[in-house]
Amino acid sequence: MLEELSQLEWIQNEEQMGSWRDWFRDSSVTVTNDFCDVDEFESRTSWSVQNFLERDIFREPTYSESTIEQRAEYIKDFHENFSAMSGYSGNLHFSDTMEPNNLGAFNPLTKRIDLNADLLRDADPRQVMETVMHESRHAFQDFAINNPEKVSVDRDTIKTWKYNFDHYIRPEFDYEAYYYQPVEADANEFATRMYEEGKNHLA
Amino acid sequence: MLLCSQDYPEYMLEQTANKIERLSPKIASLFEVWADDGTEPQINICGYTYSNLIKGFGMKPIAAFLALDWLLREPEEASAALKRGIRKLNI
Repeated sequence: MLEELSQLEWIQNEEQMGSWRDWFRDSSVTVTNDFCDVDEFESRTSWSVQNFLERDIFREPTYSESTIEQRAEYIKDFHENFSAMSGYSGNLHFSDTMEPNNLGAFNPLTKRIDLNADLLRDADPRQVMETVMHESRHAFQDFAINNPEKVSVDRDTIKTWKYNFDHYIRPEFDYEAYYYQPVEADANEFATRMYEEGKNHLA
Repeated sequence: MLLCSQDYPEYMLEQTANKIERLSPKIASLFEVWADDGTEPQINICGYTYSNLIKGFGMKPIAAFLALDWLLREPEEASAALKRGIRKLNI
């Protein structure tokens, strides 16, 4: 049965977190020179979900039984399995200063993905995996806007994404408009669909 | 004027003003009281209040009214979107 870490376990894990957090902070973003085909990005991402879930059966310890530090390593591996196809890699960071309802954010200037470290407390990895995929889709949108010749995305879609990046609606101003704006709807649909496809391909 | 004081970007002013004009009567009356004298609304829709939308989601006061209105109009969709949490562009 999947269980959340107790508060005590969380505090104990907190003491170990400095090393991997520093390690994440020290990693630098790599921009790919390769062509990023959107279909390959999607198949690689859903395969990464499938691979993550299949491997968990044989992991020692499994994700649900592992420490926060180990979970961070598993999630980092998961991200590295497909992130290069988004255009950027080495850009995943965990933050311990994000508000509880802020799960993740992609910064188009630094290309950095910040994830709320509290997501690692949940013994079920689905939410953190979907957040990684959601933010990675924003990274892909950003790569497409800046490198339209290097992606297999039609011009109208890239134009829509660029306009939305320039006129982004933050949730603190209008949550409904934030939720339904094109780049968020696309990232939500992508993350949910990739998880479902990966899970459905489990042997 | 209210929107400018809450740092709304220029490109959101017109659409947000239109949404305020179209608020459901229940939320509109609470909004008018708040705009007149700053009285915070005491209303709970699907477990969400003006206060917890501001504190828990960092919403501006006007955004909290808009979210309450959405919860009233489309309770299932709005609740699911709020429950999902914030994944965003850091712009």
